[in-house]
Amino acid sequence: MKGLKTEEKIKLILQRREAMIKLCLSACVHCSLCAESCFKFHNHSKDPSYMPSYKALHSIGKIFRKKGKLKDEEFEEMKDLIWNKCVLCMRCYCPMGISIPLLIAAARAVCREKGYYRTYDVISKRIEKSKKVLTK
Amino acid sequence: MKPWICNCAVFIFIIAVTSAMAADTVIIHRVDDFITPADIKSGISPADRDAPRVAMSHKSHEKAGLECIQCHHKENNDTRIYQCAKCHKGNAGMEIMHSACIDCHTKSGSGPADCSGCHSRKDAELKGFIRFSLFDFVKGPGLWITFLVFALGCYYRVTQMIKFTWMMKHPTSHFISPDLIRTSIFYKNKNPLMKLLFKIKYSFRKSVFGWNPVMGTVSSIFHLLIFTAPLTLPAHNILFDEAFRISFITLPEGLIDKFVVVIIGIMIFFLLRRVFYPRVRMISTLGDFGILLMVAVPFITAYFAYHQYADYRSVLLAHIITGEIVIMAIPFSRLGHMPFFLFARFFMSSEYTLGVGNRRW
Ligand code: SF4
Ligand code: SF4
Repeated sequence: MKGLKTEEKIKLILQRREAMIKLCLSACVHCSLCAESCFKFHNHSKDPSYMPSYKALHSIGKIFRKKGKLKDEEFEEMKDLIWNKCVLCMRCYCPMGISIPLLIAAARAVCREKGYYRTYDVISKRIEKSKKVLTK
Repeated sequence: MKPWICNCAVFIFIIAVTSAMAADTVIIHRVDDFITPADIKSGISPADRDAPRVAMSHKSHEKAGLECIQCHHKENNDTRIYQCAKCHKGNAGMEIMHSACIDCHTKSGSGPADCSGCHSRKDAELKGFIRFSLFDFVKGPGLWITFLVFALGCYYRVTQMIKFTWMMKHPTSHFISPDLIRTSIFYKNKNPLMKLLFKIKYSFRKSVFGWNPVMGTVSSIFHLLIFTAPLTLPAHNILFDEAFRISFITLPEGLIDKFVVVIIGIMIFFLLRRVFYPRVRMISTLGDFGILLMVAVPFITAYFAYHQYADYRSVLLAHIITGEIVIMAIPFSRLGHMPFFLFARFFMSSEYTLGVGNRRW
């Protein structure tokens, strides 16, 4: 992987998992039954954007369809989705047998190459903010 | 082109072709079409003349001011059979059918005046040839092709799933939340029956019925009926028997008609859910609506065929063709959740699996 350009690296990442991603994306019936199995979904008052399939479809689904050629804003949106809204705990369950954490992990791999990953200073800023709210 | 657009295009094309061929002209059956050896034994003599089938336009007769009942009598015809030759068989049948047409034509002095006016080779044989041979094709080899494609496709998809997952060396036992153990009277009980009851109750609670009772129930009923209805229909079993020499237990047609109504109702529920329920709307694509429509068409045409609402033969043809397309599409589209579902429910390890679950992604 060393010495390759970012685009090529992303291509490689996608190529390696192509068959698995294709299988999962084609088998998802968009039924939303996986929603309740994610604790993040429960803890954020059932906000649909925390639904496992939403997270997977709007990250790797998008990346895969456009072969990794996404705009920066789209990556920015995705960043929150796959780094903050999912902790890869592997507890979500799709009755159709799709591995959602594997899909999200693939999306993370691509985003990491693009330079969109969890930045801890941003998180600590958040904590500062919430501390302020709490001590008010 | 995106695959689902291709699917939809082919689907619409086939529906368009069949309905164009159907138009409003019907091919009237020959008096010998439904004759059986038993009939001949009981004294009905097959027609001794042979003429091309008659192609008749309902529309032109309607325009001339005829009422349905003038030909389709209701007396002695409680089940509303629309095909004359089903009862009027052999020479006697021919007399009746001839008199019904010819009397009216001579009385009104309009329409064809000689034999070939109705028994025209040009119209009937040509159109009849296409439709009857298409019928024979979809009922015979078509059925074989359909189930072969279906079986091989399912095999391929499941092997794919097996390829991407692996067997776990040490399968983890099912996770049971401590809270539940503490609160459940069943679990504390030493009685094995009670323990089993607890297990059932627990699997139930953590299954989709526990999280989402409405969707769980509705979708279970839907999936149960969608298999029961086609597999237990007497007419289908005759087809299976002719093609594969197998048949299943059958249920009365009236009951299956009610099943079909329920299935179509639930499909409307799925559609509404997709449109109005935010969490489903957010992940819906056009393809999902396409698939829903694709599965609905065979059931809607089945309903129409049973109640004989439109031209029976064309509806039936559309029903068979669309049904076969849907079955062939199962492994290659989102409907592939059928083989995946069984695999995932029983072999994938998760706290929610029903079976042993010793495979991992
Ligand atoms: S991931 Fe599975 S449960 Fe979730 S929407 Fe897709 S098919 Fe349904
Ligand atoms: S892996 Fe992500 S999506 Fe799945 S249950 Fe955990 S947090 Fe939710």
